[in-house]
Amino acid sequence: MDILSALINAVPDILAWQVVLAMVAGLIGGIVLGAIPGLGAPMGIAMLIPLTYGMEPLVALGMLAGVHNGASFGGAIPAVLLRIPGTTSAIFTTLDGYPLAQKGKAGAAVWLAAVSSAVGGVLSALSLIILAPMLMLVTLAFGPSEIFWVTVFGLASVSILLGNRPGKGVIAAAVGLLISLVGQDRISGQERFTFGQIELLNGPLVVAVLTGIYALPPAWNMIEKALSAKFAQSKIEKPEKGLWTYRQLIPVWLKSSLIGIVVGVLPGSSGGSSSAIAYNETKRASKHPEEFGHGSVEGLAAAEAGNNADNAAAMIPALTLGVPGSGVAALMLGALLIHGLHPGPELFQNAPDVVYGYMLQMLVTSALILPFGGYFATKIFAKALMIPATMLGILIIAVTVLGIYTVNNSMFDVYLLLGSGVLGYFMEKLRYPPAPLVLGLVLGSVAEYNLRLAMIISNDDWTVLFSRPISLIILALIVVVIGLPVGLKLLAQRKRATAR
Amino acid sequence: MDFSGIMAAVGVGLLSLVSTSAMAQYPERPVTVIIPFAPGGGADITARTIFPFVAKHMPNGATFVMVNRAGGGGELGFTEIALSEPDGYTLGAINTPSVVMKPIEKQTRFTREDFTYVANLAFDPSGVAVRADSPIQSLEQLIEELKANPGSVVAGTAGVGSEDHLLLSRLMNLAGVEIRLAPFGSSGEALVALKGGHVGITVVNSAVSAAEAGNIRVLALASDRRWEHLPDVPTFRDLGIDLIGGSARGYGGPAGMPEDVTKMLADAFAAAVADPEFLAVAAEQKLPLRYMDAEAYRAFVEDQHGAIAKQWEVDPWIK
Repeated sequence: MDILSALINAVPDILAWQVVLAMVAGLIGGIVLGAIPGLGAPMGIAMLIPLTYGMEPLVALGMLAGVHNGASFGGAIPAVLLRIPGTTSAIFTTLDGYPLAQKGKAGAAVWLAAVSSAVGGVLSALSLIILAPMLMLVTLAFGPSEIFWVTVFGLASVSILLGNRPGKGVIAAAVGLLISLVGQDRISGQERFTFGQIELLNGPLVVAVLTGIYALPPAWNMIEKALSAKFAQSKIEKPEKGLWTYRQLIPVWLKSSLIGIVVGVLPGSSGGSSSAIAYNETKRASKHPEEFGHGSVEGLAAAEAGNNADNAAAMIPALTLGVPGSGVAALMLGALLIHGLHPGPELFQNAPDVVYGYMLQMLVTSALILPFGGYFATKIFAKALMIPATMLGILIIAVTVLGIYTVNNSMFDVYLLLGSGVLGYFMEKLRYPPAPLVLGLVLGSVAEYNLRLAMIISNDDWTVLFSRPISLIILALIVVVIGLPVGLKLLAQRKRATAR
Repeated sequence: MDFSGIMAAVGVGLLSLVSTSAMAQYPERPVTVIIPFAPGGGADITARTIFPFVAKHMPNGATFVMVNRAGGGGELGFTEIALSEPDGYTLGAINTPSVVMKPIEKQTRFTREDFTYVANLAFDPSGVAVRADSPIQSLEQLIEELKANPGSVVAGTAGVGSEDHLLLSRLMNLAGVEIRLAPFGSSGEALVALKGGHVGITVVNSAVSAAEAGNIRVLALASDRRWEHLPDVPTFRDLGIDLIGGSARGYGGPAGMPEDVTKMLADAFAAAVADPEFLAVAAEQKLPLRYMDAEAYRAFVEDQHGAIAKQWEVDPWIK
């Protein structure tokens, strides 16, 4: 088999000392970047791409693969220790990671996050290696009407996130949808709600809004409560045994990784959504759903496996079709182009050593999360907790502001960040869940736009939305995801009624 | 002349000495190059490829720092370049057609006259392509089909106000046909939609038309000459349609830059594009090189402005 021989040929190349050094340096750098709120894989890779220009392709790509995987895991460290998602995809890690840390199990929680990230990343890299050539046909079948239904599916999954305050969740989702209307209408070219601000033409910078809503309120709180005992409690000890077993978590890892891989492959539906769906699905299937949000090891494992599993998978359509499955994958495409590597089937023929080498690097750097993420990073970040809370709060705000500024070198985005931070603060005080807002914001414009594209292509024939097999499958899933919470509630009521 | 007068004269003399020597020292500090597009795109890669070689051929150990300022289809970055201090320490990538389209379609804080043009590096002609298994074999056949059944073909474009969109609007007017335009988010997405059979035609740039040779068929290129990597593909002019369009990637700064600075930069560009080491890198990346000196580049921008302004009057792309 030539795929196998190409893989074997690539092995010696990635074991060269420069390449190994680049992968390790990238991984450690990525973990640090991911752990700093507001920074993360996209920013780290964007900053590094210009520096990689003079490097050998495999050295450059190895470093970027390390940053990519490292940053995805790094977000978990402050999520567990401080309830601050270091990256947007670590939001669901805070839900159970932080309660575990509160119970004095921070060390074990970070270690579990590292193991889960490594498993998710390794499975994702394997999927990249196996599926990249085969997935081309499936991805091509996704036209605007299919992508529209995929985004509606994402929006419908809000129903699972709502919990016991459905009204507030729906309002938050609607606010997210409203914000997603801002910017130049991509079909007519008209500007909507931009108030003449050039910075708003492409819509508000989503990273700034997300970071503001998620990263700033905890920092406000820290300063507000000065040295609150709440934050000082998360101490790291040696990871204690017995918190979880492999037997208990292997099914969770497998399912969450699969979800992450599928979400990663689909263009335009990535980022935090893989950990959101993995977390909710695990909660639904769990024997102990009541533990979720209060320190469930299953919840933590699902969130971390899910978010690392979309990394390599997002590169499947990127390498084969030139369509990135995520923002980071888009940057990686740019990095490939800088080294003269054009995506597409030709890439696999013309530069097999680089492509297969890169895919193996995604695998190796995922596995390296165990030694470097679990033990090493935990030690470093334990020190962060010795900083007084007020200082840490100010430090977080400073680093977040700096990080958002560097995305576009724009002060406007910093104001957007701070404004979102205020919004997030009041949402938290008034107990509005932030996750539905985020989903509405991220998916709203994609849904609207693909629906209108589908209408242009079909000449305003609505039946096109219901006449294709993939659309119908996704539609069935939407019905399930909306119907499930309602159905379960009705079932529970009937049980109670018969019990009485 | 009293003493203070003498001192003033001496002072002025000294100052002018200082300023001339400062100019001779240009650049004394790093020069910022604003790229009005996101990292990883064609504009970004081209700029990052050429500037190390420009630096190599500049005196005084010049360094150029690339800063991406994407937003509003280039408008944000162009505005910043145009409004910066014309001292040679802020330069930028000035891409057509975006730089001439934006001031035509809306009120902007810059026009093409607010720039000093230094040199153009590349011209990437657009081509109209179909899927390899499409029954449409040639541009003539496409136009016949469109005349027989107006609006029967859907074209995927990179978005409203993109070069693709404009090119197809111009083609519709020149050939007297009607095409339905589906504005995708980027030319990459439009290409995938073409390969997936969701749209009938799309517009591709030269790099894509070369890389995708087996998957798509380029019907015609909007250039004034055939391209060496695709010698069998005709130009629109070959087929009697006067359509030239694509992205030109050139560099400049705000209007009113000191002439000696502009000349120093222009000379460094001229030396860089002749540098064999650069040519090797450009060939590897299949950069469609089209060097134009400051004069030719300025004339080219004027020419593009004329063609696009005319199109706007006939059929504005934003309604």
